Amino acid sequence: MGNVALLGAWSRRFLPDRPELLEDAIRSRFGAGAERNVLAAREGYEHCVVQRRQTRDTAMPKPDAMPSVDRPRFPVSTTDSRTISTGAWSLERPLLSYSCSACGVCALFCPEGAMSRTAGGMVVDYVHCKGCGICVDVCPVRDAIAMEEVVA
Amino acid sequence: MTGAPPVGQCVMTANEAAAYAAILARVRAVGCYPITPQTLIVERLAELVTGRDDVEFSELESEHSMFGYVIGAARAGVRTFTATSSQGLLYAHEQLHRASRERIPLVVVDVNRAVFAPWSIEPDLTDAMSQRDTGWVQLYCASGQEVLDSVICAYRIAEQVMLPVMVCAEGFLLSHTSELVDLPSQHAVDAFLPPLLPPEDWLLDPRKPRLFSALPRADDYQAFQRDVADAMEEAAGVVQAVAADFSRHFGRGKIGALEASGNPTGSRALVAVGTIAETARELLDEDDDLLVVRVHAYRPFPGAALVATLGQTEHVTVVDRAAAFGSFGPLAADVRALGIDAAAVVGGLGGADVTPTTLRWALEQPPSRTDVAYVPVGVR
Repeated sequence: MGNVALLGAWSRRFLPDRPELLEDAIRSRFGAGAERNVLAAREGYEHCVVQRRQTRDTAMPKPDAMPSVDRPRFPVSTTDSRTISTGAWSLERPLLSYSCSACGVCALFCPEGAMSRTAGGMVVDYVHCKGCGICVDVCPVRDAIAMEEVVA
Repeated sequence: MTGAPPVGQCVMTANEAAAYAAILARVRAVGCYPITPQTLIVERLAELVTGRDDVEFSELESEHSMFGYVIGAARAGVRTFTATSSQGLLYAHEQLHRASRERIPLVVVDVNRAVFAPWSIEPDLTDAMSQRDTGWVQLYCASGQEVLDSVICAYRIAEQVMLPVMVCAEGFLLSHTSELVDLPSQHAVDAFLPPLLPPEDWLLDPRKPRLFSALPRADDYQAFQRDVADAMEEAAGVVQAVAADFSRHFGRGKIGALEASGNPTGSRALVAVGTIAETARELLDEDDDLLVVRVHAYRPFPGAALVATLGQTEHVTVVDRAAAFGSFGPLAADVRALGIDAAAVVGGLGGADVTPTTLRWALEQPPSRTDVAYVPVGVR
């Protein structure tokens, strides 16, 4: 509610003379608890005082304080890209079933190189799998791969 | 027809000259998607690489993919070639921005063709000139010989400054016009153009997987753009130096940024690129008060050289074969940005004839702060 009061105060600055616009927005967003929030916004609106205006600014660095960082010549990292856990982005992940024949078609199409064929069958690299589901689309075997929701 | 290009003086079109130049440059990956009037480049290259296992020749499903293909191949360390026209170049627009910012030393021939709508396959420079700000070096040619020589030079320029180079040739006027072209031997080209050795900190290396062009901080993003600007500035000197070295190696003149002919102290000057400037030279026989300046390197723009060349000229006329609605033609805008109060004429769009009479009309147009003089229907 403190945030809504602050929003009311801002509306004094950015929606001068039209506090009802913000109140309508609060009502459509908050449903049952709306009226208390509308009151908080109105409090903020009515008690807002603009003391001074300030734009964010920075100071010029002194010439001898300029960082002499050795920038790379090209936008290419020195980091090994395998250390980036792109799998953390995934909302779903592929699960292999016993129907998988380890034909390797998914590995051919996987844009992340996250599928590989081993002596023990297909293995998914969940550190890099982004959960795009292309493996399911290209899999020629019924029910061999299913996408499962990733629970954070 | 297969195998090696012929050697010595041969009659050929600029399209064939471009294909031979790519082969002489020992390209190893060619991406192609045929489009009129570029098609003969692709056809001739297909013939030339038949039976060779040292050149990968790929037909892609679009120009957008085609540029992606050569960008990827170049990043893997091989010399590439491709060519396109008009809609093909425009379709690949976002890849053009990417290629310069990723510092990919591509060489591409754009056979200039008018932009839709309405349809036209005729010569017009709007396709390439509207790509002005994509960070590519742009060289505009006026003959088949210049196309061949410029493609060979373009690899030296691109690989030295790590920027892509677009060699432009007006469709049909150059691409389909047969003329005498002197083809150098493979040995001579090898002596001029060393093998591609890209920097290791740029090269794609499967043993060292790294992040390419990943999200930098805003400061760093800005600094990388500045690097492209610096490379472009460096390219200005390199264009000149490579042209001079080419002339030494091959025993024929190769112009760098620009070429001035006629009276250097004349009271009037006509500035243009490509074949229009070549036609303007026809006026020199009857007009000893005229200077014709043909800009070859449009990017990096040779501002200082133009100021030195045109500084004392009373009346400067720039003729653009490209539309830039709402302002001056591209070349005129750049010349005027130098503080030269030039008359801005636009003509030759969609292959409209630009004859000596058209150019006499252009020279009569007064300079204006705001107005562009479009060549009227009927003046040719």
